[in-house]
Amino acid sequence: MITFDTTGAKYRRVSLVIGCIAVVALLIADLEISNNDPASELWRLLHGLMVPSLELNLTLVEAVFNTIAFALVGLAIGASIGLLLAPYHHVAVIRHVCAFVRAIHEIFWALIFLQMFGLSALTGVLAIAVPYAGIFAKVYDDLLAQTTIDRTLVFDPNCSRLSSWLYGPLAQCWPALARYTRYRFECALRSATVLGFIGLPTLGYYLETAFNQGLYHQAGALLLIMFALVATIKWWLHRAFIPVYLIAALWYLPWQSALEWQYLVRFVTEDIIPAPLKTDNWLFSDLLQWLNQLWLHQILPGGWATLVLSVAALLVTALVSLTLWPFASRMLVGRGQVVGHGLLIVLRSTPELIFTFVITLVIGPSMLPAIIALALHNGGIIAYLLARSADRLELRDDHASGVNLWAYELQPALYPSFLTFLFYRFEVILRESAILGMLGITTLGFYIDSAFEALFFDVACILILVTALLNMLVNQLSIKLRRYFDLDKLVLV
Amino acid sequence: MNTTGKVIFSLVEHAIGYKNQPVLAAVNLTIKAGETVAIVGASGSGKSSLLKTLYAQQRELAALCPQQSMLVTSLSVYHNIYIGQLQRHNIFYNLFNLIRPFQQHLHDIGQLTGLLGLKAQLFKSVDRLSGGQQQRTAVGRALYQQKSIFLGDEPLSSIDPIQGAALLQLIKQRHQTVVIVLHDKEMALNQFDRVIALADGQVVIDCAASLLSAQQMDAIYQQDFSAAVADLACDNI
Repeated sequence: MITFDTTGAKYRRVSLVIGCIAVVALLIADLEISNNDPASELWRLLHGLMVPSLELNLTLVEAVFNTIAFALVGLAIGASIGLLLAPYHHVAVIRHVCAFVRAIHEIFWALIFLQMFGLSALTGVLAIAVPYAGIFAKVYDDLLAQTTIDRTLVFDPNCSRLSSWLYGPLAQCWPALARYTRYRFECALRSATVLGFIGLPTLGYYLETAFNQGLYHQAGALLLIMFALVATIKWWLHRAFIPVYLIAALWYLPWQSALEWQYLVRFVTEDIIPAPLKTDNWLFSDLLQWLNQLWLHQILPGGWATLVLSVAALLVTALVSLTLWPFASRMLVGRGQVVGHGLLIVLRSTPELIFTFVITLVIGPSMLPAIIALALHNGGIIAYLLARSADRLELRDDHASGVNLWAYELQPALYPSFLTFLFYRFEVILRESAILGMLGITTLGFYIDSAFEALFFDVACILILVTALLNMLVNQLSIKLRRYFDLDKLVLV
Repeated sequence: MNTTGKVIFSLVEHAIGYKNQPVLAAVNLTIKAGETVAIVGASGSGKSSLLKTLYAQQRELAALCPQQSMLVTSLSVYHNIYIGQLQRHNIFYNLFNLIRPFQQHLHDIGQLTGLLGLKAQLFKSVDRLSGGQQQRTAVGRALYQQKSIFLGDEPLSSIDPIQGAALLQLIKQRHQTVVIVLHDKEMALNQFDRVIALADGQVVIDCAASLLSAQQMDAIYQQDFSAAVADLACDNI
């Protein structure tokens, strides 16, 4: 019996352990197909998507403009705050605050702001700006840390910290920051679309309506508009025009619904205070009992379902990405990569919420649509990154080809990146799993959504807090795992 | 098969460019089967480009050992050397071998690693080896191709001189023709039939190693070609 003492064997072992845990999660998960004729529903859906039709009307054009405007303004504010915070991201307080705000999904932020500002532009803009500020602060800091300029050696000791930062790290890393911000704009467009699901006047609003009414031709057209919007960013968003677009967006957004201070004040001083504390002479035991009920009936089942769903989705994501990336790699399929890339673009530009929504229509509500949706979206992203890395690998002049190249050179070389992407994506999957509760799966989002509907804002806030903490916990675990397996520093995309 | 003397590489007024920048200008060169040729010259003189051009002429017959070892770092030494023979076997055979090595290859590659001084590292992944061990693995991969021509781009640069000399003997034993880019002047003079020196994209010296002196070799590296070619009995270009 030969024992291999290789890094490859180490990766195999960790994959096996994660795989086994995930298989258990899949066995526990509710994978029921409750629709008794999924095939005909799927056919109607596909037919609708294949033959999109849409009456162009003013509200639709407005929805497109709104989507862009929300994304642009939200991103601009988030990126600006992120850039300001990045140099101080090493300060523990700031680091934790950033981790906290980005651990809460845009939709949850939107639900909170909805109570404070109503269905106003401010709600949509802040829902994107707040979590994105946390993301940007961290990523900008990571990117700036890759600078090769040692400021103590290059600049005069009397040079101010700010000028040396501007002329040193910031100037050097600017292209990387700009690239990342550009990529994030794509995400912001998706976020803005999805915000339509809770009532903001973006594309998602019309998508949900069309799907709910079974108007699949119309829904197909709306989806195509969304894909086209994302795919053509580089043509319509030229760097030079960004300020013009920003001013136009600020002017265009529906700010009119005037801020009603009393709602805002009531929300923060009354609504979110836990119910037992609102009575005079409250007892500590009442609060404990209230929390205990919450823990037993909402946090525990919701948190468990969120974890089960994310871990099960993680395995399927891994399988999807490993299966799909070779078809988008020029090294392996030559010109055929165009087809593979096309598929991956569709997968990664469809938000999980919309994906799950559509699949639920076909097979009925259970965890299955969510698992499929999470796996297709995240697997699509990882597959895209792997294919891109594969085509950038420097190979020998006498490298093998086809399956040999895949099995002996590319897949082994890419496996560490694959694990890195997967661990990183797990955080994203968990965030999304919570949100998918809004579609009826009993993850934390389900309980949060119900609490908001029943106007139990105190419960909703505590549940959002728990969701954020769970996310931060998993993120720490993911960092520990990456460190333990000595994976290369997170490749940011 | 005795093909000694047959022309296997031939460049006539051959210009080589890289990213639209000329690297080598109008090179005239023939190498015959059976020769052992050392290519020398300062860095940036076009040695690697020349070697790649030669490789492009004999892809079927030549085994290439590139300058960056280009090993698959998470795989074992065994699998990295096996990569040299991938094209000889069908895909299923190769996939199976990835999971469970075949006895025959274990035997052959085991023997080869013995000669390379890597016996103890056979099942270790390449990222756990030293620079010299990695380079020997790359040489092993080229040897395992079992071709008649060996093209090496500084394949012995991080290996100590004694081991390097032994490895060169092994390479020469197993290949009819050997063309190696190297920096070791003594080795170029003593172990090869012929020395080709490049400078600024030109072949400045191309003659039998026996006709060159150590001083002339030094002059090549100091880019003092008038001294290098003075008193040279062979044709210089």
